Amino acid sequence: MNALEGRQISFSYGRGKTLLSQVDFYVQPGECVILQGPSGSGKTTLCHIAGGIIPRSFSGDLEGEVLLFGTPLHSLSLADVVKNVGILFQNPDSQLFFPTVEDELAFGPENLCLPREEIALRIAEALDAVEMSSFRLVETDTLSHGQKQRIALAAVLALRPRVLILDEAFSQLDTASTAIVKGVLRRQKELGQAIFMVENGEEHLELAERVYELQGGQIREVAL
Amino acid sequence: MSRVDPRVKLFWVMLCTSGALIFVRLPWMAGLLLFCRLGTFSFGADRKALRGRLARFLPLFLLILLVHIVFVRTGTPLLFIRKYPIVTFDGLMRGATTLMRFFIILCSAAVMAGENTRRVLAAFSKMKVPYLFSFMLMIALRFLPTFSTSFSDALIALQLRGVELKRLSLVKKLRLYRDLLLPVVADAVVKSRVLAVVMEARGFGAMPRRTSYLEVRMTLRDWVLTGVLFVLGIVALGGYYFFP
Repeated sequence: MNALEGRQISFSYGRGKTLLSQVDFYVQPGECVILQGPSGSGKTTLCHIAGGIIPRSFSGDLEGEVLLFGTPLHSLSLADVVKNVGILFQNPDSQLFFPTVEDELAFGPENLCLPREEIALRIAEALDAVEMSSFRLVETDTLSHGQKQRIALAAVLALRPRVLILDEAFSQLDTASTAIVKGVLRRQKELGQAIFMVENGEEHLELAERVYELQGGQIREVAL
Repeated sequence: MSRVDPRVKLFWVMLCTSGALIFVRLPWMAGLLLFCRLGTFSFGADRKALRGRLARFLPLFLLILLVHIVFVRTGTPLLFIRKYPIVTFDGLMRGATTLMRFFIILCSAAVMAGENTRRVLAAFSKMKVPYLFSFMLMIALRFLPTFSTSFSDALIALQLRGVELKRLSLVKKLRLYRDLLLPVVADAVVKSRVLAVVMEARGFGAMPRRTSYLEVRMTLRDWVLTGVLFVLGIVALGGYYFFP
């Protein structure tokens, strides 16, 4: 069964032109799929649809459906979606809103009503994954851009999602942080996590099992 | 004392700000200001930030004082220009009382600003305040500096394009600020939408309740302090009304 699957997805923002037209895609457990395409081709929009942000938070004319392990995304509650799908956005500054790293990582598990002991375990585990265990009590404002993005990734990992969606998460990272994040993604793949990521650079193709290209509202699988 | 439970600090803030609104007589207000200053330092407010904030508001404070002095005409005249009384006793007293009121509010705000946001959220949670409300408050407070930074960034961008703010007349400056307000507000709206999406993507609002990793507990010292503050509040209120 596919971890994440989009069937016949068409989308337009209001009366504007159709951004996505009958798009099909899938990601299997333990697989990393990269989505490429020129600016404005709808890559971020497709990520938002795949993660349920559209139509939950942003409106538009959406057709087709997204399946999460065979279940239509729209039939799941927000809690069920969050337990299964983690989304990492491009800009780390907009993803961190608590004073310290620990607070930031606790936020997601607290929303899922997890007990304190479990939250502590997940914080330690997520920080360890992004190699930032010593930063637990550090203020987020003092972190570098790359460190902030790693903390944002750790905050997503603390939710232990089965599907990870990354929207150009590497675009603002330095070389060292890029290497660490790539290492994290490799480990997550080994654990069976499905990864769907938007990235245009050739340097990230090594992570991918398959690559999609989105252009003119159409999607096609390209050879690696 | 800075590790006092946030609920005690909230109670102290409530006492100070309520007193500042109720008291209109100068000696009482002065006493409250002294009490408030003591609390501000004991509860670990950031003194440097407070001084900065006071300095920023100083022109406004002076304007408020001047308005009271000029427009309150009752009371014994203290200063004349020819035969016309310029400063009256009542005007001076009311101006001073209003200034103290603002000082008290700023000092109270400094204590809460110095407190860890998560501890305050945990305290609100213990007080059974709905978490949607307490987060809304926290996000709004954190958004104010962001809004101010956006505005100053826009001003810097204008100056880099050759607009010399210092040479502009007051009217032109006001027009410029008016024109900047719309894009800055639009930027704030976009940022708040992004923040809402990020929070929701991490499960905010998914459940009617949420747990708190950080726990705050009222210690014996906190209960004693609350009791002392409560008694002081009652005594002060009684004293104010029964011994004018």
